[in-house]
Amino acid sequence: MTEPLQGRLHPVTPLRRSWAVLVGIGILTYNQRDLFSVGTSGTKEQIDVPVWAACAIVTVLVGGVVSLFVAAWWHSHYSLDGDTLGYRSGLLFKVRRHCDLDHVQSVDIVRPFLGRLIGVCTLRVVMSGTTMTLSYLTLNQARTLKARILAEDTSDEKLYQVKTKDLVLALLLDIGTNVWSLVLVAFGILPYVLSGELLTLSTLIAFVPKVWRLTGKRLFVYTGWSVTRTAEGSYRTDYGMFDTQQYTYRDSRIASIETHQPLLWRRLDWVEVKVAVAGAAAPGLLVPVCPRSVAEKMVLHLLGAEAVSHLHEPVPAPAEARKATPFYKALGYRLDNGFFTSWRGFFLRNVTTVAPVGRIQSVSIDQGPWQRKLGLASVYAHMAGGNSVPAAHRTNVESADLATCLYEHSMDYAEAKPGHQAGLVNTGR
Amino acid sequence: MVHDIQPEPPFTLSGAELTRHPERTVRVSRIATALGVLGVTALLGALGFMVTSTVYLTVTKSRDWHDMLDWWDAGMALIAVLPAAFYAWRWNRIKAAWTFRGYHLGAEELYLRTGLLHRSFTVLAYARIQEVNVSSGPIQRRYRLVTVTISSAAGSDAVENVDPQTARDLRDRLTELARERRLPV
Repeated sequence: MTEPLQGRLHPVTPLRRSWAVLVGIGILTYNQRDLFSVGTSGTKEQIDVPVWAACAIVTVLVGGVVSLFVAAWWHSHYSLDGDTLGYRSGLLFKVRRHCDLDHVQSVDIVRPFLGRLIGVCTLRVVMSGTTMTLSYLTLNQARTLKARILAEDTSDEKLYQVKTKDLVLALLLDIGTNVWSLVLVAFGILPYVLSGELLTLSTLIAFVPKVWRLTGKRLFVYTGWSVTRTAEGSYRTDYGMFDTQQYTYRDSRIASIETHQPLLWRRLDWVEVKVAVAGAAAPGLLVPVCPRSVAEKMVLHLLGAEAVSHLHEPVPAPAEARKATPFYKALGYRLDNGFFTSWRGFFLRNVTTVAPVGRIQSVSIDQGPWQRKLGLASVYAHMAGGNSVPAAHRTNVESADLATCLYEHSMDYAEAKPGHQAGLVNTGR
Repeated sequence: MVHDIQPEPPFTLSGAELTRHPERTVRVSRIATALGVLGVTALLGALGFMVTSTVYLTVTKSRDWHDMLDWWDAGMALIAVLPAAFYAWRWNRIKAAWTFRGYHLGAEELYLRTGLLHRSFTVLAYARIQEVNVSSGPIQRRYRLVTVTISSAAGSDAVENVDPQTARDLRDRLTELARERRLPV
């Protein structure tokens, strides 16, 4: 533990980085190819370039770009010294980063597909406020760094592993997404159907990324999904068929947990679990598909025993809500034991959100014009991480009471640590 | 002739009255709405122009713009008047919205109330405040008003159109209180 860990990034790094620049230059020259004629003498407007000159120019360009990156790589240097992770690189554009490791939230090793073939990976250190990525280290380097930073012992407990055949069946049954992708494909094929010209099928190219992201990409990213409880109490998800990735959640940063259940999963009682953490723009995925009992076990781990009893017995919406929304039967909320849970259901999805009351940021009561006529209002508890937990379409009196209760509970149950700054994570050092 | 909006539960606070924003806010809101209406009128006009010319060109196949001008009816310009009529209707409603808006600095929390058609009442504890921003646009500057934007971990809330002195006091008080009572997220 005394001598610092240091070294240089993997030699593959400059090649990987120069690849993009070379491709860009290649595209530029290809676009301008009409300006030059290599070898033979072309029309009057073209500049004649003999073959040897062309080869020399190409070699100089490629060599120049690659050597710039190689020089930058040669001067790159990472060092882990006590509590500071420093990284220095670059010749022309110098990069110097020093990060204090007291506020580490998670250390993950990301292995892209090509990198796995060569044997390199990326180390990503997430701290409160910044993320530091060391690209392309060997696996041994990354593992040593990670072990040193976290000072962990390797007693991890695997909580759940998603079976591939379950995943495939679940993705096929996810009818909302499938219908949407079919609609997009239909839009793409529409010009061909209308005109009969084969070339109009090229509009499909515009929709392919979106459709891919909805269907095939989910299969490739979610394969092999497993949730592990690490020795120091955070929950790590590992996933990916080609690019293996990880994401770690700490239970002290969790703002809310959502379970989604699309319509066709109801018979098998499968749910999708999402977790919202402070600092993320949208809730992150904890498990893409799992039986409801496993989801309850996750809630038990992440939020504690009182939260699990919360997943049942909602207080239903009042009768006037029938005129406000056709989905009134699915609305419900529950507030006690320090947790606020809400149920929302649409035709295709059934959503439950559990939030610890102490992490509520602000409470608001909203009323639209239609609700005003019916004497209803909705209460929203705003949480970090891009979620707000709604108790929709309650009577005026009930919303006022609920909002007051929510606010008072949020102050009572808040983990008050006077003298600490927001965002400090107690890593137990 | 302005029908004030009487705040009723759930938008009232027991034991405290919410402070109203200064009166010149109404004029700023009216100017802003007028600009919006102008923009919508321009958009509607451009849209109408494009749609009618396309229809005319496809139907008659004549490319003589004299014929097109004759074809256009003067009555169609009335469509552009619709946004102005909407604005005349809103004239009083803007003042009514002003009577509903308000804020109140409680002992441990901040209350905000806004809205006309879609009304909302927000309570935010000082301990959750992470950032306080004071900003002001050109029209606001002319009437000496500023906007205070308060951010918590769940996003930001804007208190629009406050007196600058009040905004300065608010910002100082909020940052001081937030620093004292700050809670981990």
